[in-house]
Amino acid sequence: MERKKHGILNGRVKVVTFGQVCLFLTLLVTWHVSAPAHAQAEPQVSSAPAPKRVVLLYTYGDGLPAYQKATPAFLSVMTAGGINLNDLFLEYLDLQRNHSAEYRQRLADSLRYKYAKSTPDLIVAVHTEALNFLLDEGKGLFPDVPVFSYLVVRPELIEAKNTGRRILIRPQSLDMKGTLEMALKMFPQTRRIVFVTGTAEQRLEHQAKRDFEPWRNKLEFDLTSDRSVEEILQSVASLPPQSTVIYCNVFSDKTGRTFIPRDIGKMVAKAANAPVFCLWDTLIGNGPIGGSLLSFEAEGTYAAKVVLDILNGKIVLTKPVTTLPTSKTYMFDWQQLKRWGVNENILPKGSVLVNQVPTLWEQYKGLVIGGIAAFLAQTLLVIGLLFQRYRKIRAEASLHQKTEELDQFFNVSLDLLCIANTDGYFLRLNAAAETILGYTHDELMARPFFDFIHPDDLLRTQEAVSIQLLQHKVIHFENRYRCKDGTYHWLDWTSVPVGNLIYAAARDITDRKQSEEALRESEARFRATFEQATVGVAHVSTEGRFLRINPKFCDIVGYSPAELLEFTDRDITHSDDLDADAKQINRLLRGEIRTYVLEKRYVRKDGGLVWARLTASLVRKESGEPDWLVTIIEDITARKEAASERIQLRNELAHVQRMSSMGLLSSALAHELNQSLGAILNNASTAQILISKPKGGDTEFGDILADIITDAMHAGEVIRKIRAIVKKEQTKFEQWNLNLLIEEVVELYRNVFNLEKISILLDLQTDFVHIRADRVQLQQVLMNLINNANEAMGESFSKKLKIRSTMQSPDMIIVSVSDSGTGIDEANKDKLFEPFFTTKKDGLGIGLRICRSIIEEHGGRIWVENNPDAGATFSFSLKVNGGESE
Amino acid sequence: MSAPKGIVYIVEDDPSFRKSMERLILASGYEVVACESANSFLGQASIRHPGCLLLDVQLPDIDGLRLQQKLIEKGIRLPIIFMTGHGTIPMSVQAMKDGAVDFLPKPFKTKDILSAIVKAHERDAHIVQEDFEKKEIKALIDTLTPREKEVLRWVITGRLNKQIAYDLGITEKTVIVHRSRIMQKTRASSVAELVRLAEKADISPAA
Repeated sequence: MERKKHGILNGRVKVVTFGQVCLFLTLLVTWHVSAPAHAQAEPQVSSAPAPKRVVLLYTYGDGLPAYQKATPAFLSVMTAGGINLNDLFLEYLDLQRNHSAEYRQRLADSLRYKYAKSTPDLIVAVHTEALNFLLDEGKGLFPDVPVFSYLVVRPELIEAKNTGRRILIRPQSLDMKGTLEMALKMFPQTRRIVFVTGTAEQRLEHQAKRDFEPWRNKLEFDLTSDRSVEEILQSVASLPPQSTVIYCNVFSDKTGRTFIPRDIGKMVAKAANAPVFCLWDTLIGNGPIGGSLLSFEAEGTYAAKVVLDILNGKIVLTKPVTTLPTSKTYMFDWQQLKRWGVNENILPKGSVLVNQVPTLWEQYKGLVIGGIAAFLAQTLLVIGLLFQRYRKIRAEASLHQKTEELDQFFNVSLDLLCIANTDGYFLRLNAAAETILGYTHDELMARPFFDFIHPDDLLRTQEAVSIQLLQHKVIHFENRYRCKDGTYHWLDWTSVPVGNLIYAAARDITDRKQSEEALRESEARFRATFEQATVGVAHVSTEGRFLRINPKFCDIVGYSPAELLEFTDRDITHSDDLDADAKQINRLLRGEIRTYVLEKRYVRKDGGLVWARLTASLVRKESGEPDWLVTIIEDITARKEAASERIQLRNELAHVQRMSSMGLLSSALAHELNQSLGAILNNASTAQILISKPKGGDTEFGDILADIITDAMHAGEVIRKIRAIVKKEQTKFEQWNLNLLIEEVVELYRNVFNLEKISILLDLQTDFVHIRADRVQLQQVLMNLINNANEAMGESFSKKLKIRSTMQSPDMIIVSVSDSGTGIDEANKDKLFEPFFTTKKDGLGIGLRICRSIIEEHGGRIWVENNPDAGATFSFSLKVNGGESE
Repeated sequence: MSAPKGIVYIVEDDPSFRKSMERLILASGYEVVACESANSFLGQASIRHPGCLLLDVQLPDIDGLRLQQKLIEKGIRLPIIFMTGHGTIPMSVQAMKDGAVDFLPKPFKTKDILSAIVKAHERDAHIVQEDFEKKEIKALIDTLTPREKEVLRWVITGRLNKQIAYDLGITEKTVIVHRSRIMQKTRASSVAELVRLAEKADISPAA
């Protein structure tokens, strides 16, 4: 029972061959044994342009045993060679029974008359007399037609008559020697040979005498040509032991009677009490034991072949007489062999045995054997069939298993597997087909698969199918199939044609297509980003060589892409920035940092400088080793300039603010100046007074003048302080003793404190602390805070100002200015440090903002807190190193 | 050296200025005591006369004006000349009201300061004189008995003896007797003089 319509494998399963062979053998054997063997010669349709005609002239009459043997063989070969029987003309001349000259003449005339209108292509003369007749009486009979003659004796005699004909002769010769040798071989004790001939066979007797000459002394020969048949029979009947008879030929005897030699032979063989050998195959099977015979059958066959050759032009007769060699055949009568006890094995190879049906048993042996053979064959057939069945079952099982295995693969495969025909239909599909396409098998096989293909791919697919008709494989053919849900899936096909079928596998590469598409898009997007970015992007090797740059980068540095790819990053970096750059790159490569930002200068091709903000990060190989760097370069020249402008503006603003906060301080400074000037004035006046006095204030003059100088210098200091405050200076960071800075400010305000009756408390815990700061700006902050504190305490009853400095950490200082004033509104605490925020009637609102800016530049923060008791405390932090970045 | 004209006390915290003042005043023939702070000045054992005080308004411990108050409280009557590095009008007005001789902003002309000192000394002498007188009168008055002091107080009101006797609840005669004793003790020659004396002695009239 077949569940599958088609086997998956298309291999050849040789299960039935053995059985077929057995069956065939059985049939062959039974048929061959039971039916008479005959060769069905199929009539051949001669395709010769003109039928070849042969006239055969037989010496004797039709019934001659020789002719009965030779002629069928001859005819069979002729018809097999394509000669129609209608084109053969057999004339039996019967010259032996009629040998008068008149008969011969009349015969020749009648033949001439008969064949007057039709000349044959060849004349065959059988036996010598026919040939002689042809050459003599038949002289005018078809003089130009070639003649072939066989069974001719004494061909040399024919040569003597030169008639202008071309004759090919196949002589017959009797192998008397061979037969005698055979007889001696079979019966080695033979002492006597009886050679039987009739009176007409003088010639043969002579031949015998010649041929037997070697044995003349060894054997006794008895010749019978002068006896009558009875005498012959008598003599052979009573032969002494160790005798052997060789029957040659008896056509006639002493009495003048003519006989059929075969019959005489039969009689001789029957009568003889010794084995009888013969020389012609006509006698075999009729009593003689056999011998080296002239086989008429063989001669007939041979003759026909020669005739065909002549007719076909393979043999061309050029000489008047050409003689062919003769042959002999060993033939023996099997029964006679048995009778005379001869071992078959001594017979020469190729010997023909006749009469192999000695016993009844053996007569039916064929049938029996046939039957047994048939039975055996049938048994074999049965065994064969059983075996075949067994193999079939095994094969089926194996096939089943293989099929199951393959079915598993077929259905488990994620790829679509199918068999289709070149007409365009799916014949078989696996489960994946349904999964991928969404249709059921039935739906898929109901329509041509072209129906499911995307219209744009239809033509290509049809071409691909046609290619397969030419039995060519198709590999990696991609097209789109419509799925049940209406979407199209890309499939990648490989298919193999086998005859009308196509075996194909397809992979759903929709995802791959999509990812390819996505990748393409992403590539395009990346490229667009890279190329069109408004910042420079450069991919740089770990040695700094440029691997890939975008147009913006080229713009920034003013080199062409080709030029840049020759350079390293170091080549176009400003010398001052090389170290910082190198340092950062090394840290990156060592893995200490993942990315860094650096502001550096590039030297453009035209020599100009451009400030750039470089962001670099490292791309690593899978192994973790550094591979290359991605760098983003931002042209910040404008920003730098703006920044410096901004710094400038800020300084100006700070200056402005300083100036505006001068008010309170100016009176204090003026006071100091007044002190100094007053002292100078006093001293000078004193000196004047003393000069007008006679006695000694000399020592005093020195002191006076010294004091004057001191006071003048002090005044100068004051002026300097004022100037420092009002001066517009760039930020300058230097090392200062913090305490001194603070104390200086406090000193400046001493008179203010006195005037305003502010009690000042200094709590400076930062002795010996040096900070990196801009003195003017830092003091500006303090002054601002003190000014504010003073104003805050304006109406207070108790005015306490406390300035405190502490070390928050080894590199951070906190300075705080506390007052006992009105305090700060919680809502305003943060707004205070914003620009243009003021609670003063005519305040600018930039003081604290400037303070914040200054403090931040020093790396610190500024903030305010209300005191638990009264007033507020403004604090700011400072970095000991001034907040400069590393 | 001629006899010093008087003494000048200086309270000035600025050393340089203080020294220069000291020098100047010495060269001008005065005695000088220079203190750097109000407290050190107050620590002086005694104040000599005629003297004056040169006082910087902004002093570290207490400002000049407060010192002025304190001196008044303490009864130290020295004419004060105020100095200042920066003058503000309210200050000077107050100072003057409280009896300062002058208020000089630094730097001041030498002649200004010297004339102020002279003026101060004069005033001081005057004050001293007045004080002396007052003391004498007080001494005299202290010789009066309490009753007599009481009568004195009535006398200087200008009332008649009769009235006084009525107010005091004594006889007129007693009043007359007291009166003559008072006149005698005080060496006053008239009621007007008595009035003057009483005034000087800070005796206020009875009604």
